[in-house]
Amino acid sequence: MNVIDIKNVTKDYGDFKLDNVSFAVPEGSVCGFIGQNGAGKTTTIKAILDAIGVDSGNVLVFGEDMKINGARLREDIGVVFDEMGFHEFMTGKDINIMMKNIYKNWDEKVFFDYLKRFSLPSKKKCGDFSRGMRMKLQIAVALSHGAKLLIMDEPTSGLDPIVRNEMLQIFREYVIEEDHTILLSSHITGDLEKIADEVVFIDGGKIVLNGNKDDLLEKHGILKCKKDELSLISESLIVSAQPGVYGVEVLVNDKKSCKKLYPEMIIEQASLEDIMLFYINRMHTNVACSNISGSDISEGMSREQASKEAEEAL
Amino acid sequence: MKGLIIKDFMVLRKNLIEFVMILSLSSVVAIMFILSAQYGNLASAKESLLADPQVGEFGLISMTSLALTCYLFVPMAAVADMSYIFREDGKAGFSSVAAVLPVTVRQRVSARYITILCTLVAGVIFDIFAALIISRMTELIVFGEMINMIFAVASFLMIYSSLCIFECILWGQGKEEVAMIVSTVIIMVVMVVCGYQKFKNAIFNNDDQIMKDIMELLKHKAYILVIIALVTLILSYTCSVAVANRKRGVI
Repeated sequence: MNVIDIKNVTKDYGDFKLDNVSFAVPEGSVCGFIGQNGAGKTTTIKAILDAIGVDSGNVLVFGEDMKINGARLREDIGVVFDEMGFHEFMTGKDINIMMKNIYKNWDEKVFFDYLKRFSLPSKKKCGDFSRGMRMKLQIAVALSHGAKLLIMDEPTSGLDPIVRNEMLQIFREYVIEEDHTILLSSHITGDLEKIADEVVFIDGGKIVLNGNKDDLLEKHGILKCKKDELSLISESLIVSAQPGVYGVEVLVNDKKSCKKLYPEMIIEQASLEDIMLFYINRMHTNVACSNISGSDISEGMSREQASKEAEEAL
Repeated sequence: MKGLIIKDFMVLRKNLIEFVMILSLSSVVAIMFILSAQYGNLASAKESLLADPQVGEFGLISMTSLALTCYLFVPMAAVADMSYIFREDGKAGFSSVAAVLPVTVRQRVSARYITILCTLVAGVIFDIFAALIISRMTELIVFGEMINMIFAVASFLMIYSSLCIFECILWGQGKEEVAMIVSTVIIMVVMVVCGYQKFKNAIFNNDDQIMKDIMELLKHKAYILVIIALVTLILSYTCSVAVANRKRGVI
């Protein structure tokens, strides 16, 4: 069962458009939502939560339409934003009073336990909290009403590695429960590589890539070759190319085939960040790119184009 | 929804010291004014004022009543400033939190209107208590008239707040001051337009008919203002819900 099912969502702001966005998040998974700043991650999250109206398409959460049952469905959704959103004069106790009168399933014991665990003083104004403490406070709120879905928008950005790691540990604990799902938006791909099961990659308001993280990492590789060797590579295998230290680096979409076809060439493991950067490179060099899923990769950059662009870049 | 009302009161709590100071000051000034009118300098001046053909008994009572209305108005106005909540919510970015809470847009708007109603009810209760004391201390104004004045004041504030909430939702964050000014201007313009001829006569012909009408409205016909306030409230609420549904994220 898919906990989130977005179908053909379009939202046009004039200067930015969420263009026919479709993807699904399976129950019990951690879905990493990646993309550079301004790619449309926050807009998509707002569309999922029905916090903005969409021009077309529909959003199903727990199999129900958010437009119709949004208020009820949000009882089971915990949300963490990159900015806190609570008034600076509020203390943990104030937030508890407010939230227990909003959420039916609010558990103040769980909330204060989280505050204790995160070393957050319940009587201190949250305006005096550090960024890490503010994020932890939001997580405590999100986890204290029995949410089955956690949606987080850049929760780890601007945090030091220790706090980030601590937060990733909390997310891991959260998804131990089979019916708990996380949609985690971030441009810090390293965090997602550690925790995500699924990856959705958005750029310029369009879904560029989505699928199982391990499949994507397994399929993609960085082929390193000399400039004149680029023309030898099958065009269907090339995602995009860019200049490397000693020649050209090419992101290929079928590592195994490449190894068989070009045994003399070096093919390295691609990270999520590499995949993201090469796909963005491909998008920004105005090459046609349709939605590409992890299991069904199609429409590669032509060999001539890749060769030409690599030469230009070099 | 209850939680959002509590949150609004938490925001207003920030103004508590300011409110208590205004309340204490206006109460002290009101009592001093009454004592002076009864036994002090104002009482001494009463005879000469009554002898003055330009003031007369009606003028004296009107001045006293208007002064008291101001004292009743101040504490209520101090808490009934809804633009303050919008400003604070905007500063904190609370609208993004509110948008993901299990409440509908209608409930979010309703919470704001319930907050204003609660503050006005609290203000009316306080003013009734004050009126009870003041009416015992002076013969210039009776308790029944003061009750009318209190409801008139509350109605004015209701109209002001209803306009203010609608404008804040319509124009979005950062326009709270503009909403305050525009709401005040709208009320003043409507008042002047409604009594244009009488205002003109008062200014150019020294005619005190407008003063008599205002006093009549405040002391005996507050129900007219209450009806206008309720109609404004209903219209403002309906329009605010429609706008907030269309423009998500403003409340």
